Amino acid sequence: MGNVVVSFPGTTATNPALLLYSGREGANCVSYKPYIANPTVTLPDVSYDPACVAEMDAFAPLFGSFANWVDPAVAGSEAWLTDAIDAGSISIALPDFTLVPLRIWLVANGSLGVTKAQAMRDRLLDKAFPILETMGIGLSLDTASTVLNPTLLPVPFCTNSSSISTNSAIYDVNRINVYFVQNYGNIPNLTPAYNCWLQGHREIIFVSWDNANVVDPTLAHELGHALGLVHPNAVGGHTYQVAGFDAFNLMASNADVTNASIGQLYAFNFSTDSWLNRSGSPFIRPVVRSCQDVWGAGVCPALTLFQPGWPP
Amino acid sequence: MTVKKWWRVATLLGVMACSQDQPILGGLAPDEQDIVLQYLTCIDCVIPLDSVRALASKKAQATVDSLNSGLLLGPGAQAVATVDSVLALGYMRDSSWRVLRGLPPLPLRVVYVSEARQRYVDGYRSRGATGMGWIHTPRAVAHLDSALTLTLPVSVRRAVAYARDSLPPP
Repeated sequence: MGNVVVSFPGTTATNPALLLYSGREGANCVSYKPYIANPTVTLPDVSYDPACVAEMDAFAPLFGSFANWVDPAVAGSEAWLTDAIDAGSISIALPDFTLVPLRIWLVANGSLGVTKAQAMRDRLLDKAFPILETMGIGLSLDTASTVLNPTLLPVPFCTNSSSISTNSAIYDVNRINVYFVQNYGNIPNLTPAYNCWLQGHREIIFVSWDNANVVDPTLAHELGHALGLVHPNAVGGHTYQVAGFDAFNLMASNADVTNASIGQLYAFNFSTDSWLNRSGSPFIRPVVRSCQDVWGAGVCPALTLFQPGWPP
Repeated sequence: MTVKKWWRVATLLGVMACSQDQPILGGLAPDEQDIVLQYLTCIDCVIPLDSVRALASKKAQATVDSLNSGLLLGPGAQAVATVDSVLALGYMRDSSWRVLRGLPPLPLRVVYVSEARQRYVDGYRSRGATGMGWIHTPRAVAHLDSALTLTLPVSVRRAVAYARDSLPPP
């Protein structure tokens, strides 16, 4: 047992890392205990106890996310932790962003429609990139755009998501598919946007380019659904008027986003519900957990978990 | 009057001003008001619209009147002021990020905030109209008719006309 100093090479005082520690601390098992680096984190009285789930997760603005854990089913998987305890220190090199691949379909006819769809795409991407890259989520975007004749797409309703997903001319199986359509359902003002997670297709998103009032964080919000923020089931991960969240959380609905909780960051990266961790994905994380369908703590950190001062 | 009393009066007046600033939601219980407000501020609006329509099946007049308040009054000055401050924070974050990435700057802050605020307010007001269009009781249609006699932002006017003439879809 002893203190373990955790360092995060490359991070800065203005953009410090956040560490979530699970494991034995003193006489207790702790779970997803948050620490903000300054510039290191000192974990007190750490020891290895097979009775405690042991895991370290780290996030920082402008970096990708990190996770490592001790898998009780794999002999020797505790070595990284026991080595850290023996040395009294561990260095966590945060990776680069994971680039989430998007196929953006500009579903429009004629130059005016395409221009409007492009303008909407650009405005929403201009908001999604800084939200993802500066709030410690660990993700960025790799976008590819294609103009699609509206006659080739079924009525843009989520009820058609299954038929869309079987047609390679209008669906990219390796990417999250974002359809900028004139109006969702071909009905003006029905909704600014929609993610088809309820139909089992979280990788299909519609955005209504003819709706002049789509707010800038809309794409980032819909990507939240694609990347695991669909729980608790009753409200699809929406945080509107949920205790512990304000109106400017990523999964609330408003003109801009000022926060995402630590639980939300974790779900983005390490939840089985995240598209990144789907079966056969090249992005599957070293730690993937089936997160609880409640706002509070469980297998994953509570969705309501915030740490004052972070993200910076 | 002591300073303490002055503050109490000032606080009370502030609370009253905020209360008057909120849309009129008479006839609805607080949880029912939340249903309407959730719809008026929605991004994913399909389920919130269903909830508003379900509420209207029980309390048609109060629901329609609440939506009409949303259409006529928008989110209220207090909410807009809060949104303005959050938009300014977002502008700073996004501007710094663009410098880091070597991208061209955003428009001037006053322009950026004004445009984003307008989208927020007009979207809120448009959903007031759209909700009434889906409910389409005579009272809702009368409210929409009345709104069309007013000077409205282009997108809101378009939403009102569509709600009156084309909703609900056949």
